[in-house]
Amino acid sequence: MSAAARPIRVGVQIAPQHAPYGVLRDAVARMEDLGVDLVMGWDHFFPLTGDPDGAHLEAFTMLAAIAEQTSRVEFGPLVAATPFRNPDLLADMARTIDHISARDGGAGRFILGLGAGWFERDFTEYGVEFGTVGSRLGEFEAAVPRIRARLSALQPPPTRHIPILIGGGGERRTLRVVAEHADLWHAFGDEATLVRKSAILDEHCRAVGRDPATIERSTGTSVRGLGVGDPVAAERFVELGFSTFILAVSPPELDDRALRELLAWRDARR
Amino acid sequence: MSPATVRPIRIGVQVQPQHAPYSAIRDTVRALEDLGVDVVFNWDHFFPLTGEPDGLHFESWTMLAAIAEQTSRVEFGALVNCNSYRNPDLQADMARTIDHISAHATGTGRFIFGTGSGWFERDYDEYGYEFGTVGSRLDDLAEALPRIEARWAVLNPAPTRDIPVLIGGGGEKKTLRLVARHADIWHSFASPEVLERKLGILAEHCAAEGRDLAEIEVSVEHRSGDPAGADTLLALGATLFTVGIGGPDYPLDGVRRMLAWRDGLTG
Repeated sequence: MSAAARPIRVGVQIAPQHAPYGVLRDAVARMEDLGVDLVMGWDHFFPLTGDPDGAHLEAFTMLAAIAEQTSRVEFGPLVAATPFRNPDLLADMARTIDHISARDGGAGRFILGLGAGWFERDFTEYGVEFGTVGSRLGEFEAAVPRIRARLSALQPPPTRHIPILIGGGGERRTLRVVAEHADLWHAFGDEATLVRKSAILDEHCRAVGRDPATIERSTGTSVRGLGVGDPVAAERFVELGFSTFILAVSPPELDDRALRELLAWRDARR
Repeated sequence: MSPATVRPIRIGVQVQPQHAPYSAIRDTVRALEDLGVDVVFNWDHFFPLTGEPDGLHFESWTMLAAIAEQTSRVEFGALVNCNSYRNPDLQADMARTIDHISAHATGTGRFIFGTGSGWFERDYDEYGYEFGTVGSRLDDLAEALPRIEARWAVLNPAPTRDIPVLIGGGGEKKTLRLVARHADIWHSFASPEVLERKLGILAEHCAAEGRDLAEIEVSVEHRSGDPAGADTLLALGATLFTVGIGGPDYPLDGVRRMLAWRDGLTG
C-alpha cells in the first residue's frame, strides 16, 4: 500500500507504571471505546518517569490479558527489547497472543514492536548483559530474522501476517533492519530529523530491493517528552509520508486531551 | 494431625495446550471453572509431547495471562514452567503481573507458580537453549528460586498474596531438597509405592532444612481420573489431584468423576 493510500491511524501508548492493574485495564477499555486504532504498552521493568521505584508491571503478560479483554483495537509493545527473551520464544508468545486476540474466526490484532533495548537499569537489575550500543544492535540484527523464521514455522501459524514494528532512528544499522524486516517504522523527532531519517530509510529500502512505500511510518510522543503529536504537526507529517501517530499517556493522570484532539483530527480527515 | 485432614481436597485439570485451537482451550477453561474445578494448569513446552510432534501448540505464560483475565474463581498456573527458558527475575515479574491481573474479582490473585528444571530436549534444541545435563539444569533451578523470591520481595506493586510455589519432580537428592527449601506444593507423578518412599525422603530434607513437612501440599497427577486409585493416594497425604486432558476434544468425564469424589468426601 502506498503512503497516500494508507488510512491515518491514531494510537495511544499507556505507560504501565504508577498504577494498579485495574487502572490500566480500565484505561485500555476506555481507549478502545474512544476509538483509538492502536493501544501500545512498553517493555521495561521500572518506571521511566516519576518515582523510579514506583509501581510497574510486565509487558507480555499484560498484552496477553489485553488480547482477552479487547475486541477491536490492535495492540502490542512499543517496543519489546529483544535482549530480554529468547527470540524463538518471543515469536511463540507473539503468535499465541495473536491467536488469543482473534475472535469468532477473525484475524488477530497483535503488532510485534521490537527494539534493541536501551534502559540500563532494566538490564543491570534483572541480570541481562547490557553491553554497548553496538553489541545490542548486533544482537538485534540477529534476533529479528530469527523471530521471523520462527513465526513462519509455528503450528498453528499466526492468524495473519503479524506486523513487525521497529522502533529507533539509528541511521546506519537500525534503519537497515527496518528496511529488511519491518512493516512499520516508529521514531521520535522534529520535522527536520524525521525527514532526514525517512530519506535514509528509503535509501536502505532501495539497497535491499524493498519498495519504501510498503513501510508504514509512525511517530508521536513519549512519556519522556520526546516527539510531537498535535494536529498541526501531524498534518505536516502526513505530507512527509507518516500515517500513524501514537501518543503516550501515563498514570496517575492518564491525561488524554492531546489524544482526543488527534482523534478528532483523524475523524475530520476521513 | 496429618496434612490430609487439615487441607481441602482439590481437583486440578491440566489443559494440555496442544492439538487444539486457542478457542477450544478458552472454552475448556470456562467449562472447568463452571464445573467447580479448583486449579487449571497448562504446561510450558514449545511442541506437543504426545501425538503428532508437529501438531498445534501454544505458549504457556501468555495463555496464563489470558486465563487470569478470563476467569474469576479458579487458581491456575503452569504444571510446570521450565526454568531454563526465561530470566528468573523476568519469571518473577511475569508471575507477579499475572497475579495482579487475576485479582479482579476479589483483590487477591489466583496464580500458582509451578516450576521445574526442564527436560524436553526438542524445546531446547529448536529454540536454541543449552540443554546441558539433568544436574546442570537442577543447579540452574536452585540458583533461580532464591532470585525469584528476592525479586518478589522488592517488586512494586508486591504480589497480592504469597504466590504459592509448586515444584514438580521426584529427584531424591536435589529436587526434593529444593521442595523442602522453597515449595508450598510438591507435585509428582508417583505411584502409591513410590509416593510413600519419596514422602519419607522429603521429610528428611524438611528436617534438615528446618521445615515442617505438613506445610507442603502434596500434589499428584492422577491420569486415570479413577477415584478408587485416588483414595490410596489421599491416605498417603496427597490432597491435590490433577487430571490431564488433551485437545482437540478435551473430554471431561474423568474430571466429573473426580469432582464427584471430592464432593462426596467433603460433603
